[in-house]
Amino acid sequence: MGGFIGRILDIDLTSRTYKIHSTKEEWVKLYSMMGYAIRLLYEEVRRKGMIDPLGSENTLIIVAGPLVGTYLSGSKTAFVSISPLTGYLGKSMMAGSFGTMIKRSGFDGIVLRGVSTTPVYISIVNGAVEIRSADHLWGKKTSETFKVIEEEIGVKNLKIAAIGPAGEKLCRFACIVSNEYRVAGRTGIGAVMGSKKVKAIAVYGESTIEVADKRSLSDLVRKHGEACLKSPRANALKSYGTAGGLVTYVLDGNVPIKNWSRGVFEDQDPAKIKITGQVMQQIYKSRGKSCGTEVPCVIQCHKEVYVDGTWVKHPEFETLALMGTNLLINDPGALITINRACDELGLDTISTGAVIGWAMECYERGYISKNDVGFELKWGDVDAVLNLINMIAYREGIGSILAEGVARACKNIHPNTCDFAPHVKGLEVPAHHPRRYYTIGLVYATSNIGASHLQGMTFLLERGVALLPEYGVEEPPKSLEDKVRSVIITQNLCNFLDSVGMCKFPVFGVIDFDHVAKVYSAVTGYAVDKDEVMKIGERVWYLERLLNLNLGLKVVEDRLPSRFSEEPLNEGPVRGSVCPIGDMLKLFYEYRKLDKKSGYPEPAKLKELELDTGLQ
Amino acid sequence: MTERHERCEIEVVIYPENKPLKVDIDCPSISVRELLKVLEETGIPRDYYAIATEGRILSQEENVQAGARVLLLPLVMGG
Repeated sequence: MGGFIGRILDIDLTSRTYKIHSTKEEWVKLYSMMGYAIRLLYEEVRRKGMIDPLGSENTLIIVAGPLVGTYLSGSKTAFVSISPLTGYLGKSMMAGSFGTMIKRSGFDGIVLRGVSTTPVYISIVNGAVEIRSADHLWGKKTSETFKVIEEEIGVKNLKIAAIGPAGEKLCRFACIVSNEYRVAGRTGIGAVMGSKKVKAIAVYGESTIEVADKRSLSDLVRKHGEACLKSPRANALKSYGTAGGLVTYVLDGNVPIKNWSRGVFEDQDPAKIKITGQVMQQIYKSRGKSCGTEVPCVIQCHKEVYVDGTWVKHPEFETLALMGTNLLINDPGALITINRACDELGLDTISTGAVIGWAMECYERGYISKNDVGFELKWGDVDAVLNLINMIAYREGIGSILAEGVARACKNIHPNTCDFAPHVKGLEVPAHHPRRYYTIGLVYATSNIGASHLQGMTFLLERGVALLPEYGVEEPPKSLEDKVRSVIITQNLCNFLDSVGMCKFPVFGVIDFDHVAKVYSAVTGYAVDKDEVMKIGERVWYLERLLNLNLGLKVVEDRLPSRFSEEPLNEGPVRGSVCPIGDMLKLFYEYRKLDKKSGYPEPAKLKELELDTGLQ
Repeated sequence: MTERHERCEIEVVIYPENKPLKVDIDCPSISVRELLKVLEETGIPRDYYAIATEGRILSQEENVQAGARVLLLPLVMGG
């Protein structure tokens, strides 16, 4: 079983002890590694019943798939738990070298159970595990935390994943930040880590990760590298990072503007839009690099800008959209500052931007006042945004209500405000616009973690920059039937890529899944083809669905905020358009073979995917 | 008998450099699909760029009128 280490570190924080288990090969074959973590979580839920996401019974599972540390752009570490935002599956992928170091240290993954009574951090160096006091780190921002831990452990090239004050204060959309400034951003995984009183995990290892067929793999790496160099999409990402997409998306109508209530940003004039990757790289000295020191990557979409004598992370597209166009901020310097603040405090920029956008609309419509906030909360006010970010992270004043996420906060402020609270199942909506790309509306509505664009990057298919002829998608989907089919296909493929630890950027629109299947075979030694790749991803999607159903998921929660389906905009590129989510959901249930009332998959479907035994 | 077309011109401004490019077309207009094909001959891969004017991206079926000034934008399409 190449690409896998064969051991999982299982830490009980309550007793401060740990065990090492063998990785179950049967599960690895069925689900690969992220799916493995979800199966583990499934077993926990079946054993314990309903789980308080911030209680001692929740489990945080961190795994690195077989392509992590063995293949080009194999950079994604999966963080899996029950989400404090949704109460259902929570998962988030962190790019960079963290997973590679977990594997080089001798493990496929780390399981964190129970709760420590006092703050701790976990040190894993070449397989040696220590649970250390973090009393002196509690309250510190992430950069200071990294500095202290790096000094204390004293190992070069140590990789650290830490929470900031937001995770400590159990902000429900707190994230986990690495010392390469890559983030497991979504679903409030940082709050789960904070609830366990784990400030950080630091790993370093020197073991070799074996692969099944080195020779074939080397050839596949070369071909893939060449494909990246030839791909216009990969080259555009290389030049500007994801931030380079902002101007096109604004003119395409594919961004949130004023909490999704407007269709025009800066008169839609590219000369006036200052927060694009292209303009920011004209203003600031910039550089691109791989997302991690141990990640070989041709695209190198991780951008940095030189500000105040130091290199800092360039905001990603999602951050520029949620904090920029969404809040009517068109100031690149401000967005760099906001981005840094969120990384330091450990806040997901997507959820934070969505929460603040909703709060600004509440303020504008009189549901909250200056007295409630402590200052005026007007669109485009950078100081107000920075103040609010701090208040959310430290749960001060109204920040404590907002730290609950929009789904809970709207009920607290006024039930009417839930009509414009942008979330699905409790997870805030990211930047891609369901009125523009209907398929992304369906992705949000049916994703097993709530509104996430990375659970099916269908905008690539609708725009035609990444077709999948190997799976029958030879042109952009036009009919509703084809759109729904494209959602299902990409949901499965995204799950496969997440489960094996592969970045999505060098795949969609760059190389086909026949190649990906060959890579998986060469790394693991399991002979798979593109159909088996699809099946693994599909199996993981249904496993996630079963987990959520066991946690009480109801059919009505497969929904989209009514703003996208019932409120057309009267201006801009998506003027008059609404997402036909009802019709799409009907087709989705039919094609996915889900019972319309209960949401459960048909038994025959589960049998086909070998999910009929030992589950349900 | 060969049909003869009167020649017209449009201006394509390439973002972000804002470099203008004059493109000869058959009067009175050209579809976006055809325009992207013409631009491909100058090394701009047609599936990865979009044409925008008046604050929005045009669909492949829409026409650009002679004398118009349009913007060429890359489809970075990242997360």
